[in-house]
Amino acid sequence: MPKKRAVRKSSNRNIYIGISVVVVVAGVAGIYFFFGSSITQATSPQINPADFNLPNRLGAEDAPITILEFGEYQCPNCASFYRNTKDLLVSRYVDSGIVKIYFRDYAYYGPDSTNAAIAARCAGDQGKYWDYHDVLFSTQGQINSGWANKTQLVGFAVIIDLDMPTFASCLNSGDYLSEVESDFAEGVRLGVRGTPTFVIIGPDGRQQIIVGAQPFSAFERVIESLLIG
Amino acid sequence: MVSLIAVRLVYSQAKYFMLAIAIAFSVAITMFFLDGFLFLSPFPVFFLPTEKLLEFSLLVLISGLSGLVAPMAIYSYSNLRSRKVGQGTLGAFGSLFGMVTGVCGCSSVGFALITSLGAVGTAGTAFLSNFQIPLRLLSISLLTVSLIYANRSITKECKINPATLGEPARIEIRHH
Repeated sequence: MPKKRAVRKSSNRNIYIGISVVVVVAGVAGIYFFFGSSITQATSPQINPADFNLPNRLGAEDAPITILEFGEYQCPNCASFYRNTKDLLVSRYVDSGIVKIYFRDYAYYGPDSTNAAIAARCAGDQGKYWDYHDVLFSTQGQINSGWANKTQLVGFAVIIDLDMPTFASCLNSGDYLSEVESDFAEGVRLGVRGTPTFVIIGPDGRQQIIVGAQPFSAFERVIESLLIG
Repeated sequence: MVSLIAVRLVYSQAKYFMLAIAIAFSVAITMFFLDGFLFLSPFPVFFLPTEKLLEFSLLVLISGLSGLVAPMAIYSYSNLRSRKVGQGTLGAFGSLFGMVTGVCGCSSVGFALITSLGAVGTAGTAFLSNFQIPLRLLSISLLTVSLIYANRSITKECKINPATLGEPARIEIRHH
């Protein structure tokens, strides 16, 4: 009888261990298949770099690798990428002429996000798009707290010494609204489901997607693999 | 000082110990993924920027507490006469609450909420993002209260002899 009980106890223990393992494996697999696969499929439409005649490029025009960053000026993850990865990416690949970057506005948090995107383009009219871009991410505040309202946006323009009347006129005219909306529509068409999302296009048109504020090593692996062909 | 004798009693049994590890591990992986510490595509990579050390530490604490609390609640539900579900519910709520705070509006989950719920989704994800650390501290408080509650109810209802820990067959249920 005690032997039977011991066997049952051992069998129960195995069941619990089995359940525990299944819970862990199912959880990890669920995350991978739900998020991992959807992200890969999300950007399946092919992009031809030649189709882009975008202003505000960072890097050499003939750089073999193109990175399209779909970002949001109020997104904490985009600011995290800016603080932790972008500088290294620029010093290693952009400055050496291997990569060029375009920032595509994926503004979905509300009017402050849209205005910030328009303001960056207005700064671009004066050749300071990336300076303004950097100021926005380095001064990012809490979402929809007013840190990117129109008064603040004018203040940021002062920091980088823009011609104020020209900048204010551009910001108030809303001339770039349609471009910002068009960037968002392009992102939706490509299946972008969060920010930052990076579409990295190789010299032969092959593309890889990186979603989230990933470390430099992730970009390095993708860029090197696209360069090898 | 709170005696954690019931915690020792429960985790002296391998099945509860394994369950605790499985739950803590699952919660940690889920939260690391939601919070942007773990990426699976295009290559699996773990990234912990120094600026996010506090957030990461809180996540580890929430995962550990979730792993501790859930098996305690299961133990007391399946072994005690009173079958209190309060501490289990509180613990599950605290754990879920901790996970939800990882849903940043920028992530695919947050973006789905914003696009499907509109202004409510935007306000909700902005709130979670802006108050992430206080909300996580609240989650840790809920889990701690749940753990103390479970520990107390097990200690109160069982006559525990520390010398017999590891041999659950000798636990006596007090008859009221």
